[in-house]
Amino acid sequence: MSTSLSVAATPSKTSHKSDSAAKSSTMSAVQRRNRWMMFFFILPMLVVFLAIVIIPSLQSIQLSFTDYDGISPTYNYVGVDNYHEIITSGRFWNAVKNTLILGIGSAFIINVISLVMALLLDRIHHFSGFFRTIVYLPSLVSAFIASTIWKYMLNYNFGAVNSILKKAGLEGWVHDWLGDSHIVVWVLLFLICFTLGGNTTLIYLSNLQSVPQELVEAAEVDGASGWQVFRHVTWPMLAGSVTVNFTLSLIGGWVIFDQIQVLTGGGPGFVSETMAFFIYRLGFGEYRAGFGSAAAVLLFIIVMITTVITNKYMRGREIQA
Amino acid sequence: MLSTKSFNRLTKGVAVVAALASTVGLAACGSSRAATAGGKDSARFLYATGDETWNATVKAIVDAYNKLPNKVGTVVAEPIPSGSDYATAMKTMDATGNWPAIVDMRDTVTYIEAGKLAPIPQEVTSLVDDDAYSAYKDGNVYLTPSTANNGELGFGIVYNKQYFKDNNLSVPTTWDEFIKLMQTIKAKGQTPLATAAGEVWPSGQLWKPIASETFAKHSAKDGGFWADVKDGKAQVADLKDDLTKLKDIIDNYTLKGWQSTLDAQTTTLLVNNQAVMATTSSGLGRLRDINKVKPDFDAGYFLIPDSEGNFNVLKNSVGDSSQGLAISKQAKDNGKQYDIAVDFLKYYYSVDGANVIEKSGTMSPQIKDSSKVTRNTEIPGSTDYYALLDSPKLKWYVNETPWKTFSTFNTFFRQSRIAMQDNQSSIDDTIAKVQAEFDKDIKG
Amino acid sequence: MSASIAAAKSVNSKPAKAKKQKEPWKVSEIVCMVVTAILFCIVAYPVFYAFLQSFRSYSEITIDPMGMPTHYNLDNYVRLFQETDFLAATMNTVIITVVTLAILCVILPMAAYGVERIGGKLSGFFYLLFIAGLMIPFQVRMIPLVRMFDMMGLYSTLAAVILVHLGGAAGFGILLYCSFIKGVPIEVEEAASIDGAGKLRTFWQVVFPMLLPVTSAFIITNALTFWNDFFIPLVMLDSTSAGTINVAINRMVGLLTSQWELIYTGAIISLIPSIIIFAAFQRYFIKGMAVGAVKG
Repeated sequence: MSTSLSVAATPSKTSHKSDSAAKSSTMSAVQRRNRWMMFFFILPMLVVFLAIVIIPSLQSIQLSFTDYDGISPTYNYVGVDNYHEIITSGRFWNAVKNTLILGIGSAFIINVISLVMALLLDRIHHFSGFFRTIVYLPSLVSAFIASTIWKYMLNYNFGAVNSILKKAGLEGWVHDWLGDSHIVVWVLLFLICFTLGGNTTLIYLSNLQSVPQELVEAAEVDGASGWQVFRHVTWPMLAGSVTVNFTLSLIGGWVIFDQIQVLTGGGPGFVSETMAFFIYRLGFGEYRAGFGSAAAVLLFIIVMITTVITNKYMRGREIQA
Repeated sequence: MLSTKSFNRLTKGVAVVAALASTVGLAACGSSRAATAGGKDSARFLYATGDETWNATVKAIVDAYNKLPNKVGTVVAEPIPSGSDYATAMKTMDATGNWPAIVDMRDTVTYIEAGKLAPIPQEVTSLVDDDAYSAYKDGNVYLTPSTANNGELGFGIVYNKQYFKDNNLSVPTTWDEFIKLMQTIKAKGQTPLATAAGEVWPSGQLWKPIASETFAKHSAKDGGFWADVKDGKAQVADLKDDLTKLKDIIDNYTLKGWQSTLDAQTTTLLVNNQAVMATTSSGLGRLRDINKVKPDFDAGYFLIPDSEGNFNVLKNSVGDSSQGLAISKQAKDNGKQYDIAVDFLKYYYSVDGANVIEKSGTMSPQIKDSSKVTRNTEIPGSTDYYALLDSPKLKWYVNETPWKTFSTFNTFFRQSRIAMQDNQSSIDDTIAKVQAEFDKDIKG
Repeated sequence: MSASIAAAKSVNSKPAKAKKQKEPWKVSEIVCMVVTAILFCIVAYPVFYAFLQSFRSYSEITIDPMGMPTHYNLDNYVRLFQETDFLAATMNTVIITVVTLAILCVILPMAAYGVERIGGKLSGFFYLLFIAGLMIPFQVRMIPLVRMFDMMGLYSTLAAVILVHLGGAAGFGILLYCSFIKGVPIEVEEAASIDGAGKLRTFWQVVFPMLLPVTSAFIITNALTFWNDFFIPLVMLDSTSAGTINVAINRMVGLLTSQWELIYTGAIISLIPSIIIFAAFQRYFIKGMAVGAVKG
């Protein structure tokens, strides 16, 4: 398909450009000046980006080798002690496991739900603006507020969810949704999927609306069933947005914080801690900024590796499709 | 040249952006600084918000002080967000180097160790009841109580008095009676106790009163249980009986769903008769909240007694749970602000100040002249609380934790306890893990 | 990434609107509407819940957290603005959102254009550098940032929040714009430069207008992100500022008791502008996001 998409792609058009320009000679003065010009275009954003994102992150790497508590004016270098302590603690690996469940799980579920919603919306031609708005509405609520409300609704003793189950005669289904250590991570996964799907749905929808109607109609004339049309006409056209959406949801999933903080606080015990939460809890709640920084560096490495792998895989899939 | 021209435009663009950004910054500065503007003769009082009554009390006491004809300077009350983000709020405030003179303080050890707090002078502490504060290991007092929740006197049980009356139940005077009370309530088909572990910190509400007997045995002039653990004179395994008692209560007498229940929700559970008793760590605060929600609810308050019928209560000290008023080092360096802070605290602990605090709905701290204070007894259960203060069975104990890494350990201990209560790990495994964490954080 | 958000220009040509008005009702469409509406009711339950609770008092909510309101009046709404700094918080939220977006709309398309056109290995380098920003959680860089702003005297100013948002939005923005710019034919620019226009003029007069669809998509997604953000203003604004809407709401969540009636009310108020903005601009949003354009 013509969709060319990748996280780590060197922009393709540029090579085309330099090819055509390089016809005459090697890099001319004009070209060099152009490159400087382009650099100045990048500069304002680059300065802000370096100052706000890259430099503080590098400082965190430095802090990860110290016993800095976040308050005291001085700290000592402790070598790789922090890293050693982290990777030998079961608590950390539990957080990694939860992060993987929530990250990959939410990326999958959100994409499936969003695609279904987008397909539904695509078929609605009357009041489409209204329907798009209501589908997007849950995403308009901040994760903080939505979680605060859900925390009450899921209360074991007086929450709406259990009350409804009891009224419906489903006593056996009643659970302490946020307090049962066997299910709490899955409940979190469910709630996260509830609140994060809006943008994903709209990206799918806009992709669906750009699928040429003639192709679909032609397939229908040929006697293809609804599923066949989807599988062989629509789905391949969606390959690009699947990659974008999946990668974005994955990255979003790795750093989920507000929901954990509000809904379970990492509990009961340690069972629902994620890496982002672990970093926050140790680095800020427990005054171990050096240790927290080390965990943050590890999080970054995990995020990076998984994102690159997924992206490689998705791009391969895209070409096949 | 074309490129120079466009470069000029570019720089112009950047300049506009920069100007825009700085204007916004300045505007924000202007508005925000104006709010707390005070001249040389004012000192800021940073207090934790969230509780309307406490907000009203701070306003009342600050207003009353500012009206004094002979005040040293003006005090400006300044709220901070409270709750789980207290640490973050303090830390960011600290990073700005903009400390207020008087602070509604928690996590005190960290800030003492970092040299951010100034000792509270004797002219203030001499006004406060001797049991209501204690000195840090360097001999200085850094914290005095903000309310009558002296030490951990607020770690107790709020209960449905009407239910007790209707069923001829009485407040337990020994540990065995406490267990028997819960058995009786359970036999009547009611849930005896509601507790909360939806956040990490309330998990001490049931644990601390249970463990207090063991802690009290290690109480000494300076030190206590954790100091003995550090010195090898005690170990976490000494708490095994207490942990077993805790597990027994959780398994047999506690309302289901405690894992996800928030401290604030125990009011709901109590007033809806879902449980007859509820744990609290804020004593009077919880009684006040119940009263606000359901004024005709007859609430009572008692402490869990030990096997001999004593109420072992942690003295207000400088430790993980300590909370109170402190003066910042920055104010001390400033001089004038320090004088205002000291003068304000002297008023806070005077009979007049105590009366203002009582009138606003907060129970005033125990001062030497407490008998002259007009207590506000409108709230059901508050008389139970005052009676405790005079009870001969009340034994204050000490359990100093003057290590800044203690909060790290304690959070781990709390979470591990919840995991144990929740059957995620056995009592023995928990003890081993907690001991290892202690050795690493405190000894190491 | 933003899947070759290649030109929605060609999509525009399809007169979708005209088609819509004439289209007859189909059974399948009505079924879709019903399913969507049901799903919506489930998913939006918390919003309904908050709306109902905003008419109840503190004691009503505490005694029966799941109950229905007994009366409908705007007491809580009035109290919210009278007793708290909610108005100032709302203004702060508006300023942060608008100013951040205004600055981003200038520097981000330029940067993306520069990244795409600088050519050679530098393109790839800058692209990856910005994308890496997507993967660094804010928590990682929080403490160094607070220290830096304090040194600059910017701590607890709206400028600090704005700057953090600017840096944080760079990753996604570069991603979105770059894949879109890829679809912009370079010949148009070359033609413009032959006409003697400088790079900067070429960009603003020729390229930028073509980027409008993606700009609108970018504005909508980020407006919501900035509007709803909780953690960054929480950390960057101390009590000397009224905070943002979410921070103000968080301040009502207390250690001992929370002012639920005001929290729910604030939640509903914070939603109103988002809904209006989204409802008004969703069409542009769809256009801007039009991914995988039809080439040929």
